[in-house]
Amino acid sequence: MRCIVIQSCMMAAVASFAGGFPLEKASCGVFSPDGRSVAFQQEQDGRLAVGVLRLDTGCVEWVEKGPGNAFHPAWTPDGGLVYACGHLTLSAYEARKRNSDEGYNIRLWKNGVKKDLTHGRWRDSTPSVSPDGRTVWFATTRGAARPGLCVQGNNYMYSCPIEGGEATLRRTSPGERSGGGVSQPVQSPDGRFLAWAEVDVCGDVWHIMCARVEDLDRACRLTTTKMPSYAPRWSPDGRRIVFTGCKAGDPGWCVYVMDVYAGTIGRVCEGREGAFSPDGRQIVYETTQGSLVLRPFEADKVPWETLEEESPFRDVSAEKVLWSAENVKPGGPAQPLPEGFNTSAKTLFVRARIAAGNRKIGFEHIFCGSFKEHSHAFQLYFEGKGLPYWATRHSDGTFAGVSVKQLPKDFEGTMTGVRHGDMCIIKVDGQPAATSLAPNGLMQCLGPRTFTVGPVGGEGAASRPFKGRIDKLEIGVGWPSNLPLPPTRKEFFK
Amino acid sequence: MRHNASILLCGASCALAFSAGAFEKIALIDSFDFITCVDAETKAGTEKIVDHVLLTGADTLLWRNQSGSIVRYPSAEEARPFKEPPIDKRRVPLETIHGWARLDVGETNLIAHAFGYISSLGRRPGIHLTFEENHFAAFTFGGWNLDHPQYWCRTYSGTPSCGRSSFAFDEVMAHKMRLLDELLAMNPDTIYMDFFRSGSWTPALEYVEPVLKAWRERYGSEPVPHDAKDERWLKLVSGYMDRYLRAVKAKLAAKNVRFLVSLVKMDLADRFMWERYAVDWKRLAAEGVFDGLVVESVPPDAKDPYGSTRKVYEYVMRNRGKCDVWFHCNTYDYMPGIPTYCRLTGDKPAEAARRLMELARDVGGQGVILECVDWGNYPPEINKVLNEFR
Repeated sequence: MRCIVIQSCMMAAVASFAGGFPLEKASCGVFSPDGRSVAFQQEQDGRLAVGVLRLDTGCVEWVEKGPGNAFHPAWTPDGGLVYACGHLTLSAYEARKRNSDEGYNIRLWKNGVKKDLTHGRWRDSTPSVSPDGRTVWFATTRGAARPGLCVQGNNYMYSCPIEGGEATLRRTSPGERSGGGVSQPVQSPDGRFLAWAEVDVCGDVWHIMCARVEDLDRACRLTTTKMPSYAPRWSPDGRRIVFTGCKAGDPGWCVYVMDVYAGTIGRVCEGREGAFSPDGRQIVYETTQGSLVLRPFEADKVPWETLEEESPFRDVSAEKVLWSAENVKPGGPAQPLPEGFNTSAKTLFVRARIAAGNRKIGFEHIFCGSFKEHSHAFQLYFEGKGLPYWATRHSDGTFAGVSVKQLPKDFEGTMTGVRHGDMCIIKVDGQPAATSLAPNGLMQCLGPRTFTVGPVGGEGAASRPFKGRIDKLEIGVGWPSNLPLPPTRKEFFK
Repeated sequence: MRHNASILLCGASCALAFSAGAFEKIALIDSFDFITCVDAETKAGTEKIVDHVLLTGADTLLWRNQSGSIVRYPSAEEARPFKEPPIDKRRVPLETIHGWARLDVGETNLIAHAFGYISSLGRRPGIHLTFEENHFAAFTFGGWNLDHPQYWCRTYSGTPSCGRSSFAFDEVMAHKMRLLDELLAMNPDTIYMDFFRSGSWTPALEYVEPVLKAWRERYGSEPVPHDAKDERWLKLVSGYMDRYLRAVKAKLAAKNVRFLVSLVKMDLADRFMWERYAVDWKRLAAEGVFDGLVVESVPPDAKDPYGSTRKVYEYVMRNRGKCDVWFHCNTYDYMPGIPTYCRLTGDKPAEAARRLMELARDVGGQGVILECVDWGNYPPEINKVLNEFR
């Protein structure tokens, strides 16, 4: 990583705003630790600039004012700012031809001095700083580019030392290659938890996730699939999270507050991207008209309601294996699927203990289940580039799939695909489980129902039977015992 | 019906001009897909794309206006640049070269430039308008869509579908009409609405309040059907689809712009357009809501690929109402195209192309659609065949 110290030549550029607020065309406001200032981003002449509004004077000090865009400011505990910025001057074609390093990266501003914390042709965004001031969390696309893919997106969670140094991957998007992403990781004031926004697949909605900082793969979903939610920020006491959400019946995006300990949620007002003041008594947010404003926050005036728990895992039943075979040879004729393997069961799974066989895996199928509506209703397989995949289909053929990272050539272990309600989950030994949603939900299962070990015709015709070893193949209902249940909010916030 | 739009001709290009009565080859073009081969973000690159597409002998060139909701021109309705990822936190960036391309910012309207160039060469310019609002990726969600979650589609269980706004809402209709106005301001000859690229939209995503209210008004306390293929549900949703299509037609007719629509996965059972898109195409074609039908794909019977395709073509011709009909000659195979016919018959690609062209002409088709012309995917031997049909 390249670190450059840039002397700020803009620090004296101060503009005055009568009354301070509202700040028009401004967003992403955040209070300084001392509560005397609000950092924000503002549209200016087709660019985004980052500034600091002094609340006592109503004056703005511009931190980054082009060329290019600067956005997503966040404070360090000692009064510095981190934000994302970049100036893209080349077309995509030219940038590739010249091997350009133009991107959006993270910059630190402190006492008028700027320092690039990251550098490269990535899109780093939504930085925040740990309470001890030593770590910068951010979302980034680094590592997400893969030739040949032009319809999926991915971004990951990284952190880097605020003093500079290598950035470290902290969490990948669940549903690798499925268009998932993370955004705005923020650490709780006591440093124990991290909250962030996440989307698992294109058809998923943004939701708020939370985990202990030391184990981000064991994360719980705080908001439901019914309520798109993003941009979390903690209250100063660490008891609440303010975020942007929209429930059915809302007039649009609203500022919500969640009490993570009480398990309640309350709508504060219409608007977006709220942040608490250090005393917890005010919220700065963006109005639907696109201005940054302040409003008081009085917890006893919030219409709290019980959080609709995102507990698709609340009523899981124990696994029940309906069909099982050892030393299975791929190929062969279709067999009837076992009785009970249909979507009247809430949870279905297919589990295979396999050995890759020290070779590169291609487009190969382990299992393909057929229903009347679709010949590829359930598939446990490897796609063309060898990524483990679990896919299910809606009765009209709509695909809902999820994958994880490529397996090592000498992989020996278990690969499990689960359809649970409208969720598709894949778990491969050595990797965290990945989840995606089947937005169309309904999957009808009419007869005849069969399965093959290996591929069948139609779309799978280009596929081949798995060429490795299948030591054991199981088909069942209920929650598979080898898949740990995700933690719940209550487990974290007792 | 033959469309007699006046075509801007210039200089030596006149000889190439499309004439009424000719067998029309319509090329679909997504400049975004050329980004690895030419600098599609520039005027020069745009002209290179047109030149390349013209190797097919295309008479009409339909430019893709969007991918998902990311438009390919500076749009007031889908204003950028601040909706781009990662600036807009709700969009997941795409990190390949495609993800860095920005065809919707800057001072030049590259679609308008392409139109001028196409017209100067005596060809018809138009818009390939995809029905989708997302292209199966969060980076393709629309800015307007992201700002209006209250209008998002919802499943039966109430889960919002963030990549699609429901046109059961008047505000969404108005948004779509404003987008259409932006396209019409570029003076296209043709607008082709492509249902194949639907962004996973189906009537199963229309469990939104206006539709649920309409259900209650029509069926009282009867439970809303869980199965979106329920005929009553399809009829309800088709009412909104009709409203949308009629509104599009009205705007296009006012400017004498051809309105073509696709027929996807067409077979003799003819259920797909109804069950998947709630489009009663035969009724709308008879009413003159469309000017043309484009048979985008036909799943051929392996035992008689061309014969079974002919039967479907004849079925469409019998039911075309007031419409002209175009058939396909596709080198891509994501819908059954030339490779499928080659696989089933042993024909070489050029021979399969010739047979598909002849089939389209023999049944009385207006022409064919080339879906879609990317860099080099129509090889010289196929282009040679295509150029023989005029």
